[in-house]
Amino acid sequence: MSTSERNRPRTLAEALRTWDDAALGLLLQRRPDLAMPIPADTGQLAARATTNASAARAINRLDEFGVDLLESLSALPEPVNLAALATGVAQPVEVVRPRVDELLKLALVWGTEDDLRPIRAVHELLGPTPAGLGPVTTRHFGDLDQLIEDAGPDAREVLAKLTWGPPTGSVEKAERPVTIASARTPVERLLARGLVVPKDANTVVLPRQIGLHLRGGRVLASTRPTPPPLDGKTVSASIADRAAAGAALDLVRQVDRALEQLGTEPPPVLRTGGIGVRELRSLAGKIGADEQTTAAVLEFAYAAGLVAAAEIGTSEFWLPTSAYDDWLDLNLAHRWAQLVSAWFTGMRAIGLIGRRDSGGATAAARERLINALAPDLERLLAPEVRVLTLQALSKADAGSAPAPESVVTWVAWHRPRRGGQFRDDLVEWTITEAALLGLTGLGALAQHARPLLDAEPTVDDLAEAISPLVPEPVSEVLLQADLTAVAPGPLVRVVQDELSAMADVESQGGAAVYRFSEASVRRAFDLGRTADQLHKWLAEHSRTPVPQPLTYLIDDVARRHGVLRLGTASTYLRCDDEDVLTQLLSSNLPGIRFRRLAPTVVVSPSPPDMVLSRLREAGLAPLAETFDGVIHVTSGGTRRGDTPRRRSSRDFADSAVDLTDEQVKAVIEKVRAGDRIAAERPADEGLIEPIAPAETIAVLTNAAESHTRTWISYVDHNGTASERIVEPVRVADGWLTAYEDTTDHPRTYALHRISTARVVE
Amino acid sequence: MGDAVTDGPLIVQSDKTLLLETAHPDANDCRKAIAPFSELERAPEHVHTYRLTPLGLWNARAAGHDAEQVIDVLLRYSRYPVPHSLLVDIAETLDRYGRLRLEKHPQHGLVLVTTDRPVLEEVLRSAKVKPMLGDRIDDDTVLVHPSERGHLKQTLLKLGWPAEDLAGYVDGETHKIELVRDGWDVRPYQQQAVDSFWHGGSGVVVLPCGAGKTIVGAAAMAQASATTLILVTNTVSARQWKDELMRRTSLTEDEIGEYSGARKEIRPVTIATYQVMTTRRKGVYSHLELFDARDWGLIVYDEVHLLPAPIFRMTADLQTRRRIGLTATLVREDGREGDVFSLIGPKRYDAPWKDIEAQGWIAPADCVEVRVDLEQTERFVYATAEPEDRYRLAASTPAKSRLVRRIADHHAGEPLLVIGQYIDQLDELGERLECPVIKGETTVRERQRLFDAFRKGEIDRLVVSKVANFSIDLPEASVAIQVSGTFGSRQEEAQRLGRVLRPKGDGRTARFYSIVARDTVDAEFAAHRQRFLAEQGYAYTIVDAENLFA
Repeated sequence: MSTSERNRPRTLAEALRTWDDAALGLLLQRRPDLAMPIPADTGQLAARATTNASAARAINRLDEFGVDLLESLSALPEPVNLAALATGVAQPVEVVRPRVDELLKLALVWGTEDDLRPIRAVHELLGPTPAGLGPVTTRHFGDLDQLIEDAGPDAREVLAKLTWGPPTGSVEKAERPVTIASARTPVERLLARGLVVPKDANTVVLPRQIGLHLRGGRVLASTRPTPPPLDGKTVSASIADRAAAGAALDLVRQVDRALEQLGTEPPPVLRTGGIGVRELRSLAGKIGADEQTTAAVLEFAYAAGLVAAAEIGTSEFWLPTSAYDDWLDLNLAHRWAQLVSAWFTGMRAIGLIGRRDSGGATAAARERLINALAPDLERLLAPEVRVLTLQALSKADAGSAPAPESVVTWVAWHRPRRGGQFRDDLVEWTITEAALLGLTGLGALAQHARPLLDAEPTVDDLAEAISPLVPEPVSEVLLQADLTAVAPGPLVRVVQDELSAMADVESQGGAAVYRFSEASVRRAFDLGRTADQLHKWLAEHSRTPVPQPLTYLIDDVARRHGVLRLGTASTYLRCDDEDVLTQLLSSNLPGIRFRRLAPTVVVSPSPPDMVLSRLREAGLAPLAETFDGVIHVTSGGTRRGDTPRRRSSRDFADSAVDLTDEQVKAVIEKVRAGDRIAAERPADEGLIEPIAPAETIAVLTNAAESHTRTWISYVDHNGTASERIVEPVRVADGWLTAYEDTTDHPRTYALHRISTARVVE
Repeated sequence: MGDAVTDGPLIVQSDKTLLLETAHPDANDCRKAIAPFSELERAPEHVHTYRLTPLGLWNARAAGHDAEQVIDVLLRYSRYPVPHSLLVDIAETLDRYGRLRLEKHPQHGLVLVTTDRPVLEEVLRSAKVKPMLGDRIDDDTVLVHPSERGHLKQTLLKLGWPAEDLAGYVDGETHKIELVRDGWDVRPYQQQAVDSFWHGGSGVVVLPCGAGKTIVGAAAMAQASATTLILVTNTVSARQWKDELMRRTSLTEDEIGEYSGARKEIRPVTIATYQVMTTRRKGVYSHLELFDARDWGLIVYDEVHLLPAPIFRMTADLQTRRRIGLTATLVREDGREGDVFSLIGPKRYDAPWKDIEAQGWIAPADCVEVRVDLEQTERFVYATAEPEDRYRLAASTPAKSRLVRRIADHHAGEPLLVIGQYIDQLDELGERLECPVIKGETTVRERQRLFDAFRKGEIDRLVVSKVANFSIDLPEASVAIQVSGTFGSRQEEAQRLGRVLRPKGDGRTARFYSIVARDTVDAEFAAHRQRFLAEQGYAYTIVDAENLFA
């Protein structure tokens, strides 16, 4: 961008035409939006680069000092040379020069060191009063110092207040004409000299020239050309790594347990998406974590595609996916790496869970707490902040755990124009999530998290980085006389599955403790194992001799297991004469199968009347009996109906059941509610016509906004019409959610079943 | 990163249990290192389980251990990476002890002082704490009503901010007590226990059964040289204390009083039973005045883990007196470990495990569960019996009596105890074995006579009821047979069992038989017994009656 005085460019486009390919390439890399669609020429490229949208994108990615430089450039009177800019940001020229160079390369500024010009979009994006400086006046001042001196000490005090503060002050009748002679008050003396100018009837403002003069040429009182320091406590790096790895392994286990649980008892998908608070709480109890952690565990699994909503019958449930089975086949390191890399690039702002949705479309939606796995948690800023946060942690010295607040300031310095409070929240959430994921230990970034900050992090890199800290899977357990089996490390999957079939998990962590009980051994038998198989398997997989009480337990359960047998049959045949049954079994009756349960009992899956007629056809004379063993007499072919029981007056007199107090109360409530409905029914009773659905929705939506009681006429799914007074909460997706007068809980009404709705005054 | 997955003996689980592999060469060092801050939960043959609890951590904190040390121990011995959240939790828990301190202010008397103002603000907001406190002297100090010293500590512990009590003690009435070391001396660990207790002010000394807790008590009394109130579980135990004190110290019979159901003597050293202290007449505790009867300089609580609830309430008002608790275990069946911590004091001493092992309290006994079948008719009666009668029916089946006879014959000539719950059954067994029966109604004198005869070998069989089983001077035997009854508190019973059963002269291990009726509730109880005996490290086998001695 070396330019000489002679061919000094007059526009950004002209400047860009002088750039070499490398410089242009760099620009397109840093501002990729300029390349889409491909610009036709440099003119178009320059035009695109100066649009507010594109400039905003570039400025939003600047750090605090970059923004400060732009702000100063925008505030200082043109032409701005490097020295003036350096004074403007209160930094030496050599600090400013390389940073200005960057802005030039980003095409946010063009020109030369003695005439630096920000593109116009900068002025617009940074607003009319950059750095709290007032508007530029066209008036020319002579010796400003003298003018200020003349205004008097009390007027100078007023100026001092306006210098760094907001440049405006409120004054009555600001626009009255004043001359130096007629000036009475300090403000009037300033007005008379043009040192402040009226902004409107009640406000005066300090012009930019005066402000800059008073600030001594500085636009900003102080600036930070380098990121703020990351303060924190020191921890041992190896301890931090091990603590992080501990958390990582814990997480993998929790995901495993949570998903196993989802697989056995799938929770329904809420109508608004996500998983219900109650279901989450119950899941948290099952996996032994708090609700917040459980929500994060689910989200990590969701990001990695291990859990998804799936239809069972007519409803949707949260279920582990087939990817979960593939994930289980991976080793621990890879399982972890997959979760981490999905989280790192994922867009979901998990920290929003449990908060109110301030971005919700309706008032009701804004009231609602956000559930885990809820839709619409994607935020563009989330992955960006994650990278920055981990970078901040990596910038701290090895073994140093920066305090979260200092990470927040560090990230804020790097992206001052992005997100505000939400950005700061995201940083803190990222820190929490990174600890859960085992990327940090005791607050310090673990060695095995560093591959994430490489240019192209891969799952394999991550897995490889953590594998020295991951215990080797074991395939043997220690069996003890208190009927426990201790797996002194993560079990090989086949061993784990088999052991889980015969014993219950009691404690999990790096190792696992399983307990054998009568019930757990019986479960193994129910799953088809035999006592011999169990003995053999335990002997093979135990590092220690199998304790005698365990052997005894298995044999003891086996002794009783299956002593009682049950099955289904439609028909039984019993006969005291065993020979008759033997004969019967050997004679093939068409279409009838028999099984002999005992010498005198035979069963068949065929229905009794069929068996009966086949037996008669075969020349036998069977007698049917009822379940109680009473002889079942068939009434010769003619049919009769059951005698109905007629109600008599006796049914209503003495035998009447007493109502409980609650029932009485409920009845009264219903009656009273009915009264109210009658009383509050719109005056034009009898003339109530069903109104247009759109109108119904409008009435109900308004009522929901204002929490107004509303009279509705409703037809339930049995076709019964009823009138109700409700307080609508929200109208969405074809449903009205509302509180009914008599109940404490909201219920839902299908909108298409509401024929009329009127607001109750 | 080479040391990433170490080969340590310890596995730290995320549910705060610590698994120690006993066969590991470093197991013993590790055991010593983790003992100060974790509680041994079970000790079966291969892997011992310890648990980290807030109280355990605070005990360690009171003993001067800090988070760094605890975490360092865990990381040093841990085989696998320790979860980050667990370390954070440990550090935070440890950090909670001592943020609040009870101190004696030169002008204002008893005050609560904080080193962390927000914590003080938090507890001041508690409606339960408020009435116990007086005016606020400055930002960090608030007056405490002296009568509420104990209750305040209890409440603060419940709020999760246990206070360190540095407010000191009254000296009490001086009474000279000296140890008489004639041919014996205080063992080094006993002296250490006394020193740690005295240095800490008040607290609990944990020593296994038979490790000489009475001597620790006596040495503490000698250190205090003040009038002492000793609270013990029962009369037999009271007599033993008295005998031991007369043998070990300069105290004479006239100086030691017994305050029990039978006698009400108040002397410079008074031994009272929990039972008499908790006796109520017309709804009020009638012996409360004992606590004020003298200006006690020391209060000794024997068997702290059995301390009844009313004694806790009385103890809350005795916070200006030095208190020493003696016990074999801090685990309480009722979960009131927190009250022991806040009212008696933190754990001041724990015997090194090596010593316990060397004394052989646990190893020797072999446990055999023998299963007998109910007869056909009994099974029918059992099946149709009311649930509350079922245990008695199953536990006292005649099949058991026949088996006891068989076992007794098998062990003829060896000292043998039969333990049971149902008097009819015991009487029948007494007849069958032709030996005396000790039950609840047996007088203390008769009981001691029979125990003595048994010890001297004049009789070699004794049938005792569960009541007698509780007296601590049960003589040693090499065979014990339990026919009915469930165990009381877990560890204590197991240790008592270990104490009753001593190896025979020829080195053969002692035997503990428990006879169980198959497929009944009796077997269900047995399953619990099996679990905790195995957890205590006893060898355990189950055999069918027909296969016994086969």
